[in-house]
Amino acid sequence: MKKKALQHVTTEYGVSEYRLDNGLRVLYKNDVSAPVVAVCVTFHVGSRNETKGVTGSTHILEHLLFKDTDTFKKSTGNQITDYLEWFGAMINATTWLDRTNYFELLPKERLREALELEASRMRHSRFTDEDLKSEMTVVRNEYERSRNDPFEALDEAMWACAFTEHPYRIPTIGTKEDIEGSTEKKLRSFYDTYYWPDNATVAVFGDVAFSDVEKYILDYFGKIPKAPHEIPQMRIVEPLQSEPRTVEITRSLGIEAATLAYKAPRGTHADFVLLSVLASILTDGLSSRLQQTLVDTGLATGVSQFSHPLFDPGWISFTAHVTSKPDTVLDAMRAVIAEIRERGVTDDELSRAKERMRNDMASAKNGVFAEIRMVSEAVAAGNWKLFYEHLVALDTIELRHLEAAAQIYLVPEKETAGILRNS
Amino acid sequence: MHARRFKTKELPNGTRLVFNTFGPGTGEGIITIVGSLNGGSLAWGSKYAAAVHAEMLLESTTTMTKDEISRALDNIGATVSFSSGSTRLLFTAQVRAPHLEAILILISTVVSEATFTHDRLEKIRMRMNAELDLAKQDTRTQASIALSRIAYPKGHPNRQESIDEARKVLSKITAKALAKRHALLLETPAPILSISGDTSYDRMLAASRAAFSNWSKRRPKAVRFSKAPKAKKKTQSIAIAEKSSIDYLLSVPTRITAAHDDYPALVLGLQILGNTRGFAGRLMKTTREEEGLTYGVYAYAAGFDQKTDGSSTIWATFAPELLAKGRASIRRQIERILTEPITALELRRHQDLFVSYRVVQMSTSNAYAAAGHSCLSDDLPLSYLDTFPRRLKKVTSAEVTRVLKKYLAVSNAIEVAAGPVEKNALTA
Repeated sequence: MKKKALQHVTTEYGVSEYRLDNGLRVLYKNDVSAPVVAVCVTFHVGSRNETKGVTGSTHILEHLLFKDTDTFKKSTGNQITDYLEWFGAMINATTWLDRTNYFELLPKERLREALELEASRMRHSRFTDEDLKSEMTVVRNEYERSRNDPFEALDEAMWACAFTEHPYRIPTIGTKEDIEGSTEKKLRSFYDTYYWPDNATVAVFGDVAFSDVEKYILDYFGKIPKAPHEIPQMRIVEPLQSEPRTVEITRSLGIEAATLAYKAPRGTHADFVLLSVLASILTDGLSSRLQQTLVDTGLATGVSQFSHPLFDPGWISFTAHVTSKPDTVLDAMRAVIAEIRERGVTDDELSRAKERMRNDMASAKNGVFAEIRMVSEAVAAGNWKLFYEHLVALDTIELRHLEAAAQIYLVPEKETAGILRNS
Repeated sequence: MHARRFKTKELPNGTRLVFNTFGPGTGEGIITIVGSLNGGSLAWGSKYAAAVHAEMLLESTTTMTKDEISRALDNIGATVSFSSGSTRLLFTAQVRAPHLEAILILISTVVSEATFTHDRLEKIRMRMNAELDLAKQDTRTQASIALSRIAYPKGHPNRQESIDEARKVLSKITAKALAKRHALLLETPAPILSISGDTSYDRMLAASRAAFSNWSKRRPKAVRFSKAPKAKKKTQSIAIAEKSSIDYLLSVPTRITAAHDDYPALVLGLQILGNTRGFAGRLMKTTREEEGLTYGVYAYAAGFDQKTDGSSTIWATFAPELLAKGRASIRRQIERILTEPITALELRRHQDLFVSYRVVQMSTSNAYAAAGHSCLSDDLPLSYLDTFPRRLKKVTSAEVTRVLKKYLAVSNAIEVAAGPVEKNALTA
C-alpha cells in the first residue's frame, strides 16, 4: 500500500501549503535563525460564530481545552497546562472575533510533542462540569479585569453602536449573563460543532525538516476524521450604515478619550490595504497627520489606530487620549480626515507610510513566533497569504488609489464616534 | 552557547559595542538596536525628571526641528524611543537593515545636538501630566508605586515617586535646567551599543564608528545609594473607584543584588513557587487551577541587577470577594515551600525549564540586542549568559529552602492591594 502523504497545494513567500485527506490545512516554513519551532493551530471559530445565549462560549471553551484529553491527563502527570512548558515552551491560546488559536514556541527537538498535544486537543478533550466550575471564577476574573480598563469599555460600546446585527457587536469575552449561564453541555456541543480538522489550519515554522513535520502530522492529525457534518457558516450581514452614529460612556477616572471609526471592507478585499496605508498616514510615526494635529499641539497625549483585516466587513478606527474636550478633538480629527478625503495625501506621505509598513512587516517577521501568529490572523481573515500580499501590494499603490478609497470609506455616513468622558 | 553568537569591540573613545547577526540573511530584514548613555533617574534625582529628559530628545536639535526629526525617522520607517533607567539613558530602535547607518547617525545627532526649548517642554509637560492621570486610576501601577515606597528608601533605584511628587517635579522642571544637566552628562557619556539583526558584523562596526567615534572618552563616576532597610511587615489598601478587579502584591525586600551567591537559588525558588511564564509554578497550579481564585498569580525576583538590591515578589489579581481566600491560598503555598523539602524531581524539572526557556527566548533580534546590552551595562562578560544557567543548574534543594527562608519570610512581608478594596482588607 502506498504510504500516505500531505498533498502539496502551493509554495509562496517561503511558506508551503499542504492538505490532509481529512481537510486539515498545513502551512510549513523552514527558518533556521534559531533552534526553535513554532506551532499554531487556528480554528475558524470566534465570537462571530456565537448567538444570543451562548456569547463568550468560544472563549470559555478555549480555557477548557487546557484541561484533560484522553492522552494528556493530570492523573498521568502530563496535563496540557504544563506538559510543553517543562520543555521550555511558551504556550498560550487566544480567542477573537473570527478565530481561536492555540500556539507554542519551543526547542526544535520537541516538535513531535507539540503536534501530538494539539491533535489530542482538537478532538479528544475530556473537560467536565467540574472543570467548568473551577474555570468559571478564572473567566470571571478575566472579565472583571477587562471592566477595569475604561478604554476597553469605550471600544466595546463603539462596536455595539457601529454594528446593529452582526455578531461583531458582542465583545469576545461575552455578556455577563451568558458567561454565568454556560454549561458543560452547551460547550461540548460547541466543541463538537467546530473543532474538526476541516475547520482548522496547523502552521509549523522553524528549524525543523519537512519530513518530520509530515510524519508527525500524519501520525497524530491523520487519525482524526473530517467533521461528520457541514461546519455551520455564519451568514448575518450587517446592514449598510447610512448616517453617522455616536456613543458616549462616562467614568469618574479623570481621563478622557475620543475615537472615530469608519466601516471598512473585509480583510481580503483589495481596498483593505489602501485603508491600512491611509490609517498609517493619519496615525503612525511622529510625522503623521493626527500626531501633528493632536499630539504636537497638545490636544491629545497620544493617537493610535486599528486597521486589522477581519473575515467580514469591519472598521478602521482612530483613538486619541485627550487633554482638552473630547468633542473638540473629534472635530479636529474629522477636519483632518475631511482634508484627506477632499485633497488626498502627498507623495512624501505615501512614501513614508510605505517605508513604515515595510518596517512593521519586517518586525512582524522577527522570529518565527511573531510570524506564525501574523499568519494565523491572515488565516482567520480568509487568506493565509494576506500579509505577504499586502507587502507586495504596497509597491503598486499610487496617490489616486488612496484618494478614491478615502472618498468611499472615510465619509460621515460610515462614521461612528465614541467619547470616554470624565464625570 | 549564547555568548559565542556575539562579537564585542571597543572604539578608541571607549564606546562599547556588542553585535549579533540574526535573521533571514537577505540584508532586508529587521535590525534591533539597544543602547545607553550615562544618565538615568539617580543622576537626575527623580524618575520623572529623567523621563522628561528622555522624552525631550526627539523634540529638537541645533540643526533639526521636531518636524525634521520626525520626517527623518519616518522616511526610513524606523521607530526609536528614549527612556530612563536608574543610571543610564536608554534607547531602543528598530529599522530595516538597509537603513542601519542612517538610524545610528540620527540617534547620535539627537542626543549630542539636543536642544531644550520652553515651548517643546510645555508640550511634554502636558502629555506627561495626562499620563499621570492614567497612572492614577491604574490598579497595578498604584499597587506597585505604593509597594516601592514602603520597601525602598529615598534615592534607591527601585523607589517610585508618588503621583503628587511626580506632578511637582513636572511643574518645576525648566528647559534651562534640562539643557545644563544634559551637557554635564554628555561630558562623561560612556556609550554602549548593542546591535542584532540581518546584516554583517563589519557593517555594524563601520556604522557604529561613523556615528559614535566623536563622543567624549571620559567616563562617569559610579553612583552610590542605600540598600533597602531590613524587611518589616506592613500593609496598604488603595481604594480606586469604578474598578472591578484588585491588583495584589506581596513583597519582601532581600537586601542582596544579582551578584550575590544566593541569587541563583532565589531565582529558582521563586520560579518553583510561581513561574511567571505559565502553569509550571505551584501558585498557578493551586490558586488558579485547583482553587479557581484568580486569572493569574506569579512569583519573581523584582528589581535586581548586579548593583541593585531587589525583592522577592508575588503578584496576583482577584475579584474583591476572593481577595481573602486568594491571599490565604498564596500564604499556604509560601508556608509549604518553606517547610516541605523540594523533591529532586521538581528541582531538576525547574532547572531544565529555566535552561530550555532561555533557548526559546533567544529567538528574536530584540532578545539578542537586549541581552548583549544588559551584560555590558552590568559590566558582565557575555559568557554570563551561559554561566548563570550553569550555576542555576547546580543549585540544590537545600539551598533553595535556605534562601527562600531568608528572603521570603511572610512575617516580614509588605502587602499592597489596589482597586475595589476595603481599607482594612489586608489587616487580618
